[in-house]
Amino acid sequence: MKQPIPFLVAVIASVCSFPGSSQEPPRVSSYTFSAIEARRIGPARMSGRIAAIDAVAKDDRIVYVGTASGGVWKSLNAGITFFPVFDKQVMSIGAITIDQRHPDTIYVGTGEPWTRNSVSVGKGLYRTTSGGDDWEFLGLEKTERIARILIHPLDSQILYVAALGHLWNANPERGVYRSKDGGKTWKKILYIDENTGCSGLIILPDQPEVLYAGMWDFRRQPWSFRSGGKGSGLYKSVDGGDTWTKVTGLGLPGGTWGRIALDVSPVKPDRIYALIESEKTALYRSDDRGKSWKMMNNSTAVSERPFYFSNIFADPVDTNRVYKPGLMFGASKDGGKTFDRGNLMSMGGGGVHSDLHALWVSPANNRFMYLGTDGGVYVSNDRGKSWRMVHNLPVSQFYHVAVDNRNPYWVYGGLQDNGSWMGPSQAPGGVSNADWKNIGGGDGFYAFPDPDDPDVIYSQSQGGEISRIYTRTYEMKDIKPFADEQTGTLRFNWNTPFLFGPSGTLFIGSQYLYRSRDKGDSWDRISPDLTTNDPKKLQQDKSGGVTKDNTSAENHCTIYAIGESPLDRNLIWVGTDDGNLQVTRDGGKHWENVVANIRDLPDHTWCSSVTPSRFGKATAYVTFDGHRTGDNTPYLFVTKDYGKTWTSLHDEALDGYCHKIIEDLQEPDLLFLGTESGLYLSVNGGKEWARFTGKFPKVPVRDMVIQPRENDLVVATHGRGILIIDDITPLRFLTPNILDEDMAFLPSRPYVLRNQGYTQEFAGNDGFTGPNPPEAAMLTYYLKKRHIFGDMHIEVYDQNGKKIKELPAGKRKGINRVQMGIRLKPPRVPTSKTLSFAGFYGPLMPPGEYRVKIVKKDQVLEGSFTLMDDPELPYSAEDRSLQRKTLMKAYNMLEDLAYLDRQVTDVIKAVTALNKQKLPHGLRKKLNSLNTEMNDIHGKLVATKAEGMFTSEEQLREKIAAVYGGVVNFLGRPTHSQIQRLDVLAKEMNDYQVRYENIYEKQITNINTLLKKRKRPLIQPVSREEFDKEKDNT
Amino acid sequence: MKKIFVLFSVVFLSVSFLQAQTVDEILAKYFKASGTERLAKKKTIVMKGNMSQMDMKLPMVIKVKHPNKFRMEMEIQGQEMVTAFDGEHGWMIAPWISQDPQDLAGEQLEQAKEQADMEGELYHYKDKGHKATYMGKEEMEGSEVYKIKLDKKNGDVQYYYIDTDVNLPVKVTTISKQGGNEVKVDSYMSNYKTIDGVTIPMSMENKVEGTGQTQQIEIESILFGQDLPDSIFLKPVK
Repeated sequence: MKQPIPFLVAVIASVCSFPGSSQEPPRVSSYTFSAIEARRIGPARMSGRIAAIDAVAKDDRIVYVGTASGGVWKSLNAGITFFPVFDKQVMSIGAITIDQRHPDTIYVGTGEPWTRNSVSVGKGLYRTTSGGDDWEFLGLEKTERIARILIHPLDSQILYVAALGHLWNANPERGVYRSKDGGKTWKKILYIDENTGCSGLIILPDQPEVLYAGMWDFRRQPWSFRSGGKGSGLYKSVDGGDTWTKVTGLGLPGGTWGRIALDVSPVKPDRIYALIESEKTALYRSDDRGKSWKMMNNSTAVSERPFYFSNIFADPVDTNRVYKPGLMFGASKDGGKTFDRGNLMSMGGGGVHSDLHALWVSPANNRFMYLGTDGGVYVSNDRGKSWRMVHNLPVSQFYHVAVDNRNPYWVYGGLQDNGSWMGPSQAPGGVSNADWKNIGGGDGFYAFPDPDDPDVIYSQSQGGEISRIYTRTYEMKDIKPFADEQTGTLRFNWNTPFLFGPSGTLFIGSQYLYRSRDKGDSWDRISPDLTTNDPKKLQQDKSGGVTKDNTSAENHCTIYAIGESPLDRNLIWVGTDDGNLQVTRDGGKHWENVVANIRDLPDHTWCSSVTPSRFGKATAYVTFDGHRTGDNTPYLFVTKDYGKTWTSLHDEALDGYCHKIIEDLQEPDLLFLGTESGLYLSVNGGKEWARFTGKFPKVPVRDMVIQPRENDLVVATHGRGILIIDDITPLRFLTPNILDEDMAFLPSRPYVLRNQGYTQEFAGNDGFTGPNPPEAAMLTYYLKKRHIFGDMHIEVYDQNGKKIKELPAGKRKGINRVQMGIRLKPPRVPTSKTLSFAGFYGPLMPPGEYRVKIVKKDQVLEGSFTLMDDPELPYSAEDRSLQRKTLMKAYNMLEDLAYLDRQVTDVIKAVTALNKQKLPHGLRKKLNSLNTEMNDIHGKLVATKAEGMFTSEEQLREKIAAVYGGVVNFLGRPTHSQIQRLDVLAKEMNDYQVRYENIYEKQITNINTLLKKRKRPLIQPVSREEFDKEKDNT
Repeated sequence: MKKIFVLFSVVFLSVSFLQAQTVDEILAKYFKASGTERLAKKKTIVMKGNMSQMDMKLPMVIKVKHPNKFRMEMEIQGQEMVTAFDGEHGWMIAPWISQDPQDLAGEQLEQAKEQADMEGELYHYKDKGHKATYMGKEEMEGSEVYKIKLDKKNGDVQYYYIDTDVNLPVKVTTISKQGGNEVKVDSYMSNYKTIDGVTIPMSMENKVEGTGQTQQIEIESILFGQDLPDSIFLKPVK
């Protein structure tokens, strides 16, 4: 921007002096390391929780899916493939409404409205007018959750939003909002009080001045949930929302109401449905636009968990059809009187996951439906009798993650609503749905391998139901501790801490800490009640509000976090959900509650994680999470004196309440933090934080772990599955000194040479496969400024100082990660009409240390990297050496063959050119004879008859290439057959070389003499030197 | 710097410093910095270089003739693959598949057409039937850029990220909507070099979203004004 400022600034700066105007040291920001990208491995097999769906009426293949905390996904092909369109905005989705008259205009209201204990938060309303390419923010930021968005049927500028409001505290930003100017300004048109939001909203399509709103009085607390209160009620407006009246009587229930769902039949708007939670929750229907109501059904088909399954959908074509997605799918053909729920014995009738939250029926063909459940999206074309599952939405919600030490390592974790799973960090062909294995049901939390026995895994389901699993048989052993006279009833959190400490001790926390030294067969209680044991917070049997709802989700006054010090097995930290932070230094004989020593932390704030340091016994990191009482402040602290004093690590850059903090394995100042809005890292012990953005959306991060052998950061996201950041080694070297340099080389882990395994499968487009790490060594370096002008490239040298590769450099500001392929140049092969596999595939570079030069104009930055053989492969050094030797023999044979053939074809070309000229008969005869011989040889060196891909002609090239291909694909000892074959082929090739040389000496030299006399161009095939130079130049 | 800006913002307002940039103003700066007007006057351009993907490096020659002819030759195992656009039809020959030329369609045809446009899609975008919108300034990978959205006539969408310091694009994102799915490709430009008054990126990195695949294009030499007969762009008769 070449405007007046610089000049004025210079003038002013010379006149005034500003204190502290010296240059600040460069600060690590997100852009410093945004080139380091996360790799997503899913899983998508069980998918995740869906909150909202809308599709384009004119073309029902175009569908938008709003997930509970994994963003908005779009499909153009009825769900065969999906892609995310909302990753830069907000992950938790409440409502999606497409303007059906302009289907590229879509409104997204954020914040999940199905308010279970684990819900995330929204940040208002967004709109796109480009089908999801770009979005604009329209406001309503503080509403936290949006249940519905309506567009006036005749005027797209008039919008209505049903805002639920905050779940965990009172706030005024809730109720019904209206905009009359396309979202520029908003007016709150229906507001009851700061506890009541709008859960249902309809507008009559043929009488749009009439609206109905279902208002919901609700609150969740850490220990209970209330659905219903005096604020709940049904309201009606007849003037487009300017004024409202409460609807009572007329056939509607009395007493206190809870949550309300509304729908109107699009084809017959006289018919309105209201699903009303009350003491006797029921479905009500009006056939006169709400003047009178009739109770249609109050069975479990409509009354289960009314706060969670508050949904009713009128069919867009058949006015007698109405659908109730709830625990299962319910369909009525008689206007709501009776509901067919399929096979009640199979929970999830029709093969879909239970807990249904979204439904869309195509107005063009009401057999076609999209369904959103707590286990993904399903598609039906027979009105919901049968379903096809969408297999490519990797929106699983992990609570925790663990890894083992296999090669490649496996990842373990539990999911909200979807049990516990394990999957490989990489697999031949990528990590597909089929690679993930189920290791537990219910809602999963902690899942991890046994440290000693590779056939044993541990997992749990909600409320402390822990198991040991034997993977050979998948038999599960219940290993939970039981109450005794001294303990009274054991209280387990929804997300019970259950883990091995570094010492190999197994822990589980109820309100007491239990320790097992025999993998859970027996337990010792090693603490008193470490919680506040506040009786006011122990009334879960009363929880639910209007409808009792107690699923252990509200269990409170329990231990939530456990951390055993890696430096001392007797030093154990415990954090509780009611805000205690207890530490023992003698294995549980004595405990001290140190939470009062933390200043700037409100009382009874839920402790979300405790991480004792591996670098200092007295050091520990803790995070606290107050969102369940409306406090979204990121709380994170460190102590260096066993909890006597604490330092806050809060930074303005942080957003979202905190879940977990971990240290790096080697660098004490390198920390990682997971919050409700993403992943952060610090390179200076937590003083400053920067968000990790490389292919990492703002998805909640609940847990993470560093795999010690690979130095991968494996992240459990709550909404996008497992994200792996391969090799965080370079981050350990991000010091302030480095940041000040123009260029600095950063070390990476050694690259293990292995062949990627081969699999053949043609599974269509509809699965999800996460990528493997690239088959490349990563060259990582730091640039202070982006490189735009002039040359910049990278040179790689082997141990003998020979340059073996030149590749383009990464040019961005901050860290660059350049993928360097770990194969040598492929062998040249004789040219023919077909391609040879061998010509694309060079041998792996031999193991060892290589030097790197990054050349930027006249600056040269030096570094190195290491390639190593895979220690897991059972091949001896001898085997590997023979493999390389054999491979290079085949390699050189192909190169020699390529040269031989090149000479031959050069001769043929020269002869062809000469034959176009006028020549004496004798000479022409000689040329033709030469040509025939050369073509004969050429036809034996390489397949020439083939046209296109379908050929099996085998000449010398194909034969050698076949052996080359066999040997290059296997890193161990080649077969005797392969070695002998090469000898045979070498002899054959030698025969042709001799034949060619004879012809050259006898015929070509002679012809050249004749040509020289006539001053014609000579036949001069390329020399070997020049031929090799051609290769070097690529 | 921030302190100064806040104190004197009133002064700057009157100097119309805060006047919003229009898309055409920004494009004008870009055309000036890159010498696009000069490029528009060149009759032909011949670029030699190579394309690499991991360990595969293929020599490549690109020939472009004004106003809309394009031909790319790539050498694979000694064989020449040709992709071309003659102003009306796109075609390609992959000798290992067939010696006969194949017609280009869909995304491939659109790409060939775009390659034939030497000055780029932003130059005279209105005449080409595209719509350009200035989306504001953004911070991209630590540098400030102008973000320009191009809604192309064929339905594809492109985002151009033009460095505000040097007024040259450092990244272009293309969202192709020709197939059943949206395909997103990020292209990064660097190693800018000025030849004959035209500033061209000699290095390009293309990343296809979701695959982790990266393709590098390095240009070694550029020649303007060479004689290129029309015949080399025409689809060969069988």
